[in-house]
Amino acid sequence: MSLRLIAAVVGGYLVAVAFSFACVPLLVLSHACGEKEAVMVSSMLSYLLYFAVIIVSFCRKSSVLLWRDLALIMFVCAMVTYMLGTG
Amino acid sequence: MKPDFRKSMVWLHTYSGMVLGWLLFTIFFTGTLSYFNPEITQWMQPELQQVASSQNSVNRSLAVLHEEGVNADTWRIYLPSERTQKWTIQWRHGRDSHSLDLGASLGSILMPRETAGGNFFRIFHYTLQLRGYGGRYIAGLAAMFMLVAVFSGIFTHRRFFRDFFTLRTGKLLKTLTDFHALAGIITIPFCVMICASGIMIYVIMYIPWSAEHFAGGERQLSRSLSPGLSQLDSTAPKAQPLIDFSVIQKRVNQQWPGEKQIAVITFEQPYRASGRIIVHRVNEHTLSSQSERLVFSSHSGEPLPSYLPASTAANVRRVFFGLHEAHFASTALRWLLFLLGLLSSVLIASGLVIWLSKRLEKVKKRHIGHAVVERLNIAAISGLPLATAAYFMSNRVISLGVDNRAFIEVQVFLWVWLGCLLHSVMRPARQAWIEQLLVIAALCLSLPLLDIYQDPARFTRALFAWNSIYLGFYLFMFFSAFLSFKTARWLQTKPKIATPEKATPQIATPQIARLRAGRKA
Repeated sequence: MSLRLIAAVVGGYLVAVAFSFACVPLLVLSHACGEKEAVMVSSMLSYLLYFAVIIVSFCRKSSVLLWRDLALIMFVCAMVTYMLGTG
Repeated sequence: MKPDFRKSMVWLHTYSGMVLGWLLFTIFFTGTLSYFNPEITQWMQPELQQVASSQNSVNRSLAVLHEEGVNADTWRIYLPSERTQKWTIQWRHGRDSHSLDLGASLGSILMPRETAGGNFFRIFHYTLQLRGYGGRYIAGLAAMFMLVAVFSGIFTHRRFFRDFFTLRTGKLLKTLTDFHALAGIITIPFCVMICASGIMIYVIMYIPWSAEHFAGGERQLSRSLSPGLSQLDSTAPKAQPLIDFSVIQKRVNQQWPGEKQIAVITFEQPYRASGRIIVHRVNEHTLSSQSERLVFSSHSGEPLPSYLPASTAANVRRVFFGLHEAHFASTALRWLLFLLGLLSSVLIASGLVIWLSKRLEKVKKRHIGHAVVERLNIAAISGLPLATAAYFMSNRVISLGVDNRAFIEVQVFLWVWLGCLLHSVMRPARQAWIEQLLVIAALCLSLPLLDIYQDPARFTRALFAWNSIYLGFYLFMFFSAFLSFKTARWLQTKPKIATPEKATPQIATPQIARLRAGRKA
């Protein structure tokens, strides 16, 4: 139970932070908007992800799989940020 | 975890709502009151007169500023509206700021009593008096909890539509549960809007690292997204600021048709040739929190290049901000939002009461947690309105000359609230409910009476001028007094212990059992 709680609150937050980084180069490279604007857009969107993680954390069957998925998302976000990061 | 999605949502709803329920109730209640922030302030400063209909108010303000604010760095004129009835001029030399409240008759200056007014509720509902200590983070966390509670609350209903049209009367718990479901469904859009927009106001502050990495910080980010005006040259040659505003007024009227379109006028460096005037439009025309602005030269009145348009992302955020503050709302819409806010507060309160009474019915021996929840319920749900009424009362009772008057009023609010908590601990639960509700009724009833007793002219003036805001405050106080008195009476006559129910599907019990097992494991 406590694992899920940490996954929801801390894990969700970390995923949101990772996403708020990773989404910026994606938006810039797809010519959706400028870098500064992309920061604002991705920060706003990251809360949606946070919310989704909270909900999922409490209904996944296995908390090991849950943590694996959270780590995977964070890893992908970190990779995107480092590979494509312009800032 | 739980065997299926719905069960886990029920669990999530129960505990996400319970853990921060009192905090959520506090935030929703004070936030709802701040929909009527200027109106409450107007009632709390009865020295202010009806100034909204004053003629030629800009030029009269300018005349005073020419006398008082010689060589100031900034002048500012807050024009009165029906809601505020406050007409303030301000001038500033460096950090040294002065202000005056003007009255309706020529040359008169008002001295309204010192008070935080309705603004106290506005500040309190997102900082909790802890601005330097992470109060805004707590509020953001609470908003997230509320979103989770609303979302999971939707899935607790197996039959969404049937539940919506059910209201069983008779047994308290059933009535409350049905009411909770009903109010919950009505307020889904409102709660989602208010919580999401509340988070969006501090969107960067809560997750700052991306902005720091790419833009160097929140301030730099917002500066590049919505650029301000160029820095003024404060060494430019001297020039006299204009005396007659009508040059500008004509241009403003062309841009913004209609009466009384100006809310605030700011003069930057009025005594320099480079000085400028920024005219802010009243913000009831836009969803955004940023009203339209026009820029003019401060000595010739010629139009100057205005603000560059802000980027879409920044505008989206401002619309969230504006939705949250609802300055755009007309009186009817404002009342609707106010009632929705109250309904949401009642929703949270009823959820807390349900949580407790469901469990008290089941258990034979009370757990310490039950007592804590019971007392906190009383202190929050009836204590907060009581503290609010005491805050209004202190505004009329504390003598006008006292130092730090506004601060003392806030202290009264906080101490009375603490007193409610202590009272709820000392007394049996039902007695505590009844007594606090009766005190609320007494306070709310005596507020208008005391006001009329102190100065009957206030009432008669409001009546003859048909000041619906001042009179509306009276009526609302009478209504609250009636409501809390009725509730107290009803609690007195209600049978002592609710009879245990049998046939109702009890959802929460297996969860508790499992939770207990989980805790032990």
